[in-house]
Amino acid sequence: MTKRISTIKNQDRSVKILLAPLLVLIILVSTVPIILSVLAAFTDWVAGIDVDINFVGLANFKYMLTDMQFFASFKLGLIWSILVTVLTTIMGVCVALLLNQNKRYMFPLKLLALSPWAMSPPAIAVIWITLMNVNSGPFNVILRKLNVPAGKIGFLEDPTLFFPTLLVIGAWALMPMITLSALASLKILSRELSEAMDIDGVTPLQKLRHLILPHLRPVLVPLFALNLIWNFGAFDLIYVILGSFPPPNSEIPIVFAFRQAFKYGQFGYASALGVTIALFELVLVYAILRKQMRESNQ
Amino acid sequence: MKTLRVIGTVFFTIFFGLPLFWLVSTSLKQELQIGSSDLIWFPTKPDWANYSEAVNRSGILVAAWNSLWISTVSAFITTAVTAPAAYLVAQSKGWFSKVATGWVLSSQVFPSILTVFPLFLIYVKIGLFNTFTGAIILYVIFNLPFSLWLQRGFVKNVPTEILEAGRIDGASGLKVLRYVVLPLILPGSIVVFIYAFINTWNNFLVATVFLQGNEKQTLTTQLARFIGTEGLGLFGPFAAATVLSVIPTLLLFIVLQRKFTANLVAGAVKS
Repeated sequence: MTKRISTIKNQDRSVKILLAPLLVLIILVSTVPIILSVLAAFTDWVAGIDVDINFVGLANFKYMLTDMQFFASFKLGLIWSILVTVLTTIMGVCVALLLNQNKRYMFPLKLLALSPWAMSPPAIAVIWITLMNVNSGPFNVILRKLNVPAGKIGFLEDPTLFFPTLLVIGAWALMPMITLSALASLKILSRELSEAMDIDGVTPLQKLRHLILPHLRPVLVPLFALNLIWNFGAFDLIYVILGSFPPPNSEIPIVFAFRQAFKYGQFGYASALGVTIALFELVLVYAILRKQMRESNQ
Repeated sequence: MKTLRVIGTVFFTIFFGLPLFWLVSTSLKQELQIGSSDLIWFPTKPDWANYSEAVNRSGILVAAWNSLWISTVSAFITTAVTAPAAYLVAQSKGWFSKVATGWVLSSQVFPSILTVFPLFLIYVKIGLFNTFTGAIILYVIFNLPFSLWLQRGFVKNVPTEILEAGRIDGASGLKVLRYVVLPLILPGSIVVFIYAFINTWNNFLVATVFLQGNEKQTLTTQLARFIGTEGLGLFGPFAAATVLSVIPTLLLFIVLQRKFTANLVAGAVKS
């Protein structure tokens, strides 16, 4: 028996050798940078050639605690992440429930609802900038047609409207992942149970509450946790839209850290911000998922 | 309930359909029609000039070619390395599988932005900055965790009896992989390829940080440059360029989505 296992191990060695270069690359571009980034957080590293790098202990973190702009962006990031995740989860489940009917006319809606997943952040930005334009955007044109005096709304230019508009764009762009997962989960919902409930005269609302939502829960809770941190770090979309409309204090922490590094060259400080963001995300995911794991163990 | 369903269907059709419809309609309008304060849902005489202008604009064609070439190569390499890696992870029960799973999970949690600062400096040092090779390496590694997860379900479905039969006959792991496993997980490889292609085609972060030369732009960074530098003056050509950039991934996506859902279902049933 032991002999057979050892030959199997030897047999797989050829595959391992084949994959060794991949392992080296993973270490080079994934592991080493993370370690370096954590180390850099404790230095005064700034961009430039032949700059001395000194170990400064916790100085970056101390500075961060006095950096009001970072706090503002952190708060904004939290609000953005919570709102957009709640919004996409609720709407995504609604769309999945709609799509989960075996009707042929639902197919185009399915393609439409999932299509943002196939688009790049700059493409999404172009689409919504065109749609929300002050002069030619259809919303503004319709408002003017209705003789509303405010038919020139700068959805993306107005500082008070910028954030709500961003939420709508975020909901549009980030929903497909949730729709798809909820849809996949609904496909394995017991049809017999569902039909039995219909015959027993259970109202659709009761069915939603007692059958469908509990069924979706194990899929939705981890997805909610992951989306919360993904959206907290949703760099691309916001960075691109901000590129053309930078209202004051509208940066979420990831974009803030990115600018610190690539605009001001503050690699040490940016790394400290990155480490803080990563730690925060880890704690968040752990807190949400621990509760669920405990429940599933019972 | 029925009215609720109708309202929901209408609402979501407009919510998801209107932006796309407006994009296509804008791309076919003349400049005067775009600036017009009347509402023109769709131009009566579609004007293709925006498309020729988008194509003739410096950079767009080069960027499209770069995107196509980088995405294809990255998707091929991702698919090629995912199959043996998923096989190894599924086969080994020891530390290797644990480390691999840990890496897949942690790469989802760790913000990629955190690795970007030091990676930038490493790349400048070893000469991979502003090279397609460097970008492709990053795309492959960034695509890998989710690809592994996708392919794992397919590898698990390969019956162990078949694997063991091949082994007892003395075939090497490589031979078992090539003649037994690979043909069986071909559907998984197709899903991985399409996922990797779409993900690379649409990626913005890697391209904007690691490909900064004018001749190295991809479609995503070129579009972002337009938004940033030229502002909103040229809606028509922008819209046309965006339509062109979205068509390949949208087509692939339409092919993919059914298999993707099926695979998700298979994974959910298993766990």
